[in-house]
Amino acid sequence: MSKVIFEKVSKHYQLGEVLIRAANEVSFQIKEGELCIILGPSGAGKSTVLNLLGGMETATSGKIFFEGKDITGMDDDALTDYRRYKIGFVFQFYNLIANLTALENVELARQVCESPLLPESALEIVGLTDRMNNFPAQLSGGEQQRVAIARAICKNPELLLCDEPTGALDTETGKTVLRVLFDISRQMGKTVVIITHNSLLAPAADRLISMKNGRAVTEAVQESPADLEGIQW
Amino acid sequence: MVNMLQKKIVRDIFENRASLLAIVVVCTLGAALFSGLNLYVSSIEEEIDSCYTQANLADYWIYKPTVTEADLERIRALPETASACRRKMAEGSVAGNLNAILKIHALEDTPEINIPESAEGEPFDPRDNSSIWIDTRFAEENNLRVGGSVKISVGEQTRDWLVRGLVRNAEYIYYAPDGLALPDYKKYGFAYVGASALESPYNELLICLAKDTADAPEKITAQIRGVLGNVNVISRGSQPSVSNIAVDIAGIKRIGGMLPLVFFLTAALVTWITVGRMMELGRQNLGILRSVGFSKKEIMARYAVYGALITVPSAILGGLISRLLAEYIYSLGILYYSIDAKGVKMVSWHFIVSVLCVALVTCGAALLSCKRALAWAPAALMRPKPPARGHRILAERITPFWRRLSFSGKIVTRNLFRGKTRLFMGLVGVAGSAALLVCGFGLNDSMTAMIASAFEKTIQYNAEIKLKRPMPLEEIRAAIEGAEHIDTAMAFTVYIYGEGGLARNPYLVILEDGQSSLYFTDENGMPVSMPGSGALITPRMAEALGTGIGGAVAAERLDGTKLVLKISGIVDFPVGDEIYIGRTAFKEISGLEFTPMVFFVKGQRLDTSVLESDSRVSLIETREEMEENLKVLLRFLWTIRVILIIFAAGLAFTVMMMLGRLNYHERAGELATLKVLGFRRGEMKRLVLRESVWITLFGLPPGLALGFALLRLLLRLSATPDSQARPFVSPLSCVLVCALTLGFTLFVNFLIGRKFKAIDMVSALKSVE
Repeated sequence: MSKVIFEKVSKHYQLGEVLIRAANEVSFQIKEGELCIILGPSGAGKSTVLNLLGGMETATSGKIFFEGKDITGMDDDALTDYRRYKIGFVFQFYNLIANLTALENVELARQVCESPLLPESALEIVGLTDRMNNFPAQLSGGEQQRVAIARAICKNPELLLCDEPTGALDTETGKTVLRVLFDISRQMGKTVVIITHNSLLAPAADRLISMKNGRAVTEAVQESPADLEGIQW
Repeated sequence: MVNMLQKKIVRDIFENRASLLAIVVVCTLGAALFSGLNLYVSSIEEEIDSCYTQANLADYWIYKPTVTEADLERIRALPETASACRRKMAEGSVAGNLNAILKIHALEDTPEINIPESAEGEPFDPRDNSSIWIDTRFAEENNLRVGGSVKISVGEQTRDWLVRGLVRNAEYIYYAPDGLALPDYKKYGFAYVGASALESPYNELLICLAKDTADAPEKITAQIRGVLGNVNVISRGSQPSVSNIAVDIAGIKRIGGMLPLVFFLTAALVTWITVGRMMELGRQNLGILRSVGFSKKEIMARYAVYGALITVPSAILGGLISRLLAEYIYSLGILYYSIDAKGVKMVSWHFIVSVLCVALVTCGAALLSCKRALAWAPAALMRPKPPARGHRILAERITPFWRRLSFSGKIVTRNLFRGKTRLFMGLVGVAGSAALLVCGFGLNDSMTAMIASAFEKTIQYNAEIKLKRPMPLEEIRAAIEGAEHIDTAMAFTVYIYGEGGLARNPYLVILEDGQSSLYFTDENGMPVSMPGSGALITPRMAEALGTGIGGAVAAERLDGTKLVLKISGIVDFPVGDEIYIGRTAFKEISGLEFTPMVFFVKGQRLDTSVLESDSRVSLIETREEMEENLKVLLRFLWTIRVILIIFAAGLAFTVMMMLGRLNYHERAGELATLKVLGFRRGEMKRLVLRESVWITLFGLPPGLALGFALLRLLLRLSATPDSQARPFVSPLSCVLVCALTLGFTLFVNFLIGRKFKAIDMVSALKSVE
């Protein structure tokens, strides 16, 4: 059964007299437990699709189903609940709260969900047990991104959405972060969606969606995804 | 032509319009309060000074039963005398209103000293012996018109006069004789007639001193008495109208200087911090401008526009509001004076000073922040400033306390101490506004307590009767219905000379030794009875004279009789500029006879109508009337209190608004993260907005303490010889101040909380943290 279904979803912005079609009749499906990579150059509409899927934006037209439920018709409060209980986000720039330690940043997410993981366990999963009492400014970029991932998985979400999670990191650190995300998908059975412009990551995905000019141009299921260790960029 | 940099600044300003508007409001309030109060004071002061100059107001008034031509020549011959003239002075009563008393001055020539100002009709003509020129306010109250006639009795002589003109005089601007606190224009007025029209002898001498005379009043008085013998001498400083006005203006001047200063300092500090923070938030723009080649000078010159854009509207709005404020206070204040009201003057230097201060604070903050940022390399400026490093706070070391805090409590507590500037600005804003509010409410409480202390505790009689000529006690007792007890007293003005001149001119009240009309207590509330020797004075008198119990002061009657008053006690009587002495003690120090001229009557439902028409009686005033008059006199302070509360509330609200906006904008990314994580609006508010509630709660105690100190200082500065209120803030006022300040915080939180709905999660999270 499909966890996510996009049916001819469009998102248009009217900027003065110019109509920007950020997403144009995008359709695809993602199955439960899959690691899906949405690939495309800058301006292809990947972030728009992720934001629509995460309930951070509403579609201009089309339908988005999550676990069979249409989220395009949800009001603000229902979308808040959707983000609260179903979704975990990981951003390119981590967006940690500077005045909270790693543990407290993770604990913050735990405050608003129903069956959370222990913050300590979440940090253990991302390999940061020994840095949990450090503030973000005392952590490297990779460590901060791992705290962000721990914060996302601590909520025990149904869907983990990652927007260019390695965009601000060097290759080695990026790999460590991706390893964590892949492990979450493979070992914990979570559905993970990663958006990236880095085509070298494509072979590692269970499902690959390519986007260009606001459209999903290809959608492919890879039966035997490549091992992350063998990928170089 | 507008270049790109100018366009950018204009757009920046548009984007920051709400913050700029809040700063404009704070600056406007500061400038308006400071220049408004001072515009009123300087307008009144100028009008009165010009009145004194135009009238050539006398420096000395001398009273002698008969002033001869030779006396006048002797005075003119004194080296300090520039000019002198003599007048006849008599009191007349107007037919149809037996209570109305006119002080009639008769002159032989066109006056050169105390020149009456013609308000209506013809100018004064001393050769016309059938006409009279009457005080405008008295004429207005008694329905007398130019061209009409009036029957006036002077002594035994009654005759009709033609009213040829209405006049004002600088010596009667604030005419409240017989110890009245307020002028009563229906009852008391003055008039001018030609000398030949009045049969009585010349009995009044006026002197104007040479301009360079710097001698103390004590010395001049001694010189006058040296040539004329023991005569009554009144210097300009102690002339009732002049001294009343001087005390009045001095009090308002001090209030007008101090309160707006505190207001302005609070506003300036808040503005400085906010402008600085605004610049800080736009530091990346500075980096971009530097990187494309704009010089530091060019950038700084453009950013000074921020300051100018706050200063110009603040100056315009502040100027307008200060004018309205000054005109409103003027319309109330001028009612006390008999003067040709010319209205509030165009501008006072205070306005220019306040605008300069606004410019200095706003341009200074903008330029300084800009300069500080431009010291960085362009590349460093373009990188976003790293967020304040998280660190543990002191409270975390108090483990039992920290452990008990909820997770959100920990976040709020740490955030409170994270933005130290924000915390400081909030505390200053809240404490400053709360202090001004306490001061406003406290003024009312203190005045009410002062009136209650005077009229419910000290004054035990129900009516006071003052005589012009002696009258037997039995006759008075027989004339008053309902009198249960009458105490007799005697009172006259004395001069007390301090170093370098006149210190005070209080009433010396001689009371019966066993009197029960005034219940005196000391400052601790313990009863004080009339001492067998020595006098009782008030704490404000003791302070002004620099004396205390066991000390002594040298007093002088208007006729030159010298008295040495030993101080036996200090009594807490908040109204009246008086020294009290027992009959026996008075006899002991002066050897003078006790001639009762004042009667304190106790009794319910008193009927004094028989005495009201007796020509020997000068004044009958009930305790209620005295209390009402004092309240009218204090109306000005009441107005100041209302203005202060309105302005302080405005300041409190704007400061909280600025703080809220600053908090919101500085934490936009954090709020977006919370929203993405699925926090509901209420939860976000609890986490983020609770901070301002804590800042308010922390700011209130120092605000209340500062307010009380400010009130104490204010009352001390605005104390007159006649009254001094003790600083008192009722618990209800404290609750009101706290409720008002906290209410503003919650209201601002409500407004800011509504903005949470509009947080753009996508764009906020796209930016680099």
